[in-house]
Amino acid sequence: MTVERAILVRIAMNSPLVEVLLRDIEGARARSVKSLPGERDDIFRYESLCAKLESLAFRALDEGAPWLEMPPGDRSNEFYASDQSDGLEPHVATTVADWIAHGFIGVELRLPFCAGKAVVDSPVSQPHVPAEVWKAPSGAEGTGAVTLRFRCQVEDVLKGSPGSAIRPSGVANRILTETLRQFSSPQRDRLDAPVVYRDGSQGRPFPLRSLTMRTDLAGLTGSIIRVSLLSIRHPEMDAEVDGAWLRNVDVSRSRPEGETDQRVEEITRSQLRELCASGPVILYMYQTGLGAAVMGFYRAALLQMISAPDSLTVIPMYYRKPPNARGTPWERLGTQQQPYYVGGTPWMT
Amino acid sequence: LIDKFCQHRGLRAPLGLVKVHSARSPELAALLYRPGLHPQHPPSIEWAYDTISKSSWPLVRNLIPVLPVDEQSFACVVASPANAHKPVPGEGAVVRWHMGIGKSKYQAALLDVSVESYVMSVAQELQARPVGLRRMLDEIGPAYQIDYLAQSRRPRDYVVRPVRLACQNVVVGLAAFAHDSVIDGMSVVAWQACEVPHVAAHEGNRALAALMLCDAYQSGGTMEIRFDRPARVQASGKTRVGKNIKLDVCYPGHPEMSVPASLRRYGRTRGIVLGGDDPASISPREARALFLAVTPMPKGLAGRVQRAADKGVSSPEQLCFTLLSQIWREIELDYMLAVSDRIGSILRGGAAWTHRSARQAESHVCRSALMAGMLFRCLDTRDHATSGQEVRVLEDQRLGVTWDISSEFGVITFCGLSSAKLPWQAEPVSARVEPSLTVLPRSYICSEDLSLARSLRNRGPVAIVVPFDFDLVLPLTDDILILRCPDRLSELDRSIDAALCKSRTMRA
Repeated sequence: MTVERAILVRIAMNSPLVEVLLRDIEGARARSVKSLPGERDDIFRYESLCAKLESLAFRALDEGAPWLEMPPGDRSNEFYASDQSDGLEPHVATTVADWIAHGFIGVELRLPFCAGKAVVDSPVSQPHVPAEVWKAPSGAEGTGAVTLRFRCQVEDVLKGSPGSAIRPSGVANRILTETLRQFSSPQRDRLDAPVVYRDGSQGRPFPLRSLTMRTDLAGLTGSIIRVSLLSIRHPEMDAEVDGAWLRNVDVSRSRPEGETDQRVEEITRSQLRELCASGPVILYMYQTGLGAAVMGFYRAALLQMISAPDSLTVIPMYYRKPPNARGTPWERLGTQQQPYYVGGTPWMT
Repeated sequence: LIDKFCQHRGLRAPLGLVKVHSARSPELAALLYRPGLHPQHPPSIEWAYDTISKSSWPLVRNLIPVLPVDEQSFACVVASPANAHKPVPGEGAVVRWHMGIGKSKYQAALLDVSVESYVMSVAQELQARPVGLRRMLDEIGPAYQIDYLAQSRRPRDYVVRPVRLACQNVVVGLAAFAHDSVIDGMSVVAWQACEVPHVAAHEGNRALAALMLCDAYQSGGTMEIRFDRPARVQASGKTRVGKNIKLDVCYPGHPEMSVPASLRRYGRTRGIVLGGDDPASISPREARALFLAVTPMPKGLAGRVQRAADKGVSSPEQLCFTLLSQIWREIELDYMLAVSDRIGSILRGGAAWTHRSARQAESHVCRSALMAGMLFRCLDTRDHATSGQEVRVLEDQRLGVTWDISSEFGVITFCGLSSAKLPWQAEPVSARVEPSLTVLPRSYICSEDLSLARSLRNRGPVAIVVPFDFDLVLPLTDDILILRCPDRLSELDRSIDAALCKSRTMRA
């Protein structure tokens, strides 16, 4: 295996091309920070500009520009042009300061095909063992079996089994919501359970046993808002709801599920803060699929309830097809709407 | 009878063959070659011998025809000469004998490790075939056509989806499967594969298994594949041929209610016992072994994949999926596994963009791998697109070029080159191709790379492959070639970004 070296090459800052590049890199980085999870356009532009700067540095190296060996490790700086030499070894920092004082900058280059001492240590970890098969106890089938499987996962997390995590992928939104509701209450030895999706990405930990919730809706007051979780997905819900909580275009993107979960949580926290500022809110949440969105929403809702008790009640609404229904739901909307949705266990303090 | 027949031909009948002839399966009554029948008609064994002897590939002396495979080939059992003190290697195994075949390497391919298990598995397969075919052709296929194809809808992973595999307009495999949340694995309700003259032995099963395992991986779950899970197919509407149908069918599982006999047979030829833990399922452990077996890999790459899996760099399933879905091609993955410790991060989708140094290092490795892959395809392809003389033929155009990676230098040696001229050279330089070429794929050239290239000249011609827009400053000597890849740096980076994005979402 080849070894990777890191060097810092000195290039002149006074060239117009370098000046423009540095400015563009700063701008592109600022835009990339703001880009939505999964959006690559700004990030790709930033990386292209960095590659151009690195090309200039490689050219300078070939032309005999001074350089110095960098310590191993991954850093975030694209270049060193001011007092941003934090984390550099003292002798490197001193040299860089001298370069900057004389109108130069340092650009870090990686040389991955060198002979010598490895910069990046060979990562050795345990081999991935095949997964254990799941067998539903007592021959449960259908949603009953999926519920049991998901419950077992959550119970394993609560028991502290090694490697256990909540794995919401492939679990129906109703099962997700009801199981999480059940294990979030009562408040007792709060445990922030890791959330891992099947693509390997992680969501933020879910606070289990973090809040004592009740189920009795009697005497409940507050502004009633009926929303679907995601826009566009099920237009037949439109007759039932006041609006959609999340825009499908923001949420249903090709990206790791953990990022979607995180994005939904951020949006939900911000919207809840705004809504609940003017008084208690009773939110009827008409749910659609997308486990990552359900996880993100209920995590944010729970955190809102913890930080501001009595400010929020969420009543999940699940779609169900009536046993004797004929035709597709939207054909019968307006005449017989209610049977298509059934309320779940409320999330309320 | 078969014992006497073999003795008469100077062979010792394998024990399994005698057993098969004594316990004749009713499904195979019209197929099993045996003596004592009219020698001019099948299934007389004399007829089989006579037919093969008239072909361009007369039968090897120690093979005994057992069953037909297709209209052009026979399943034959390997027998030892009657006077041999020790059995010949592979005695009792079943091989496929083609009567007309272009490439000799495909002759006598292993069909099964023993004649008994082969005959039994064929009987099971044929018994379940009518039910399976009816499901696929009359129920699952039309239902999918009505609900998804006709409406241009994409099915969710829990929908029973039919797969039809064809080679040159001949169907070689049919299957239907779905992700099953109850077991957090895959459920298979149909599996049919067959051998046809122009396709290598077991290719139908291999390719179907590859598709099924990729689907199981993408759908997440444990990778358990069960053949006894119930499934329901409903549809109502007009099929593509204009037939009105109304379907509501429940299947208890695959017609065999166990791992299909043909798939188990393929597994045996690769040394994998399928259904060993549970006859009705391929366990995650067996699925892993099968995934590695169905993924085409040169020997060197297979070794690196195994080492990477053993080191915990990545799971074997992820590595196989990466290759089968061509996120990274064989030579690209091989190169990255050979030269860089960062391969684990690359396979997971790359370092975060905020870690520029890590991203830069990964980019260098990926660019080199990508350029090496592009060059390999140029060197290994016979493409007359620009000749202006011939109709462009896109099938079977590979020349058989092989590669060998020197992991300590990040250098690739291509062997078996035969094109008239090396690609990607600047005019008027036009070096002719030697049988081998040593290549340093680099997105930038440092003085160390030049020194390395010079030191490698004793191996034969040496070339440095660079992006099209690479600006060469260092002085070159004539004996080192510069090959400019047609893609610029930014184009390479765009392709890399797409591959990394796919890696991040491959199971999402």
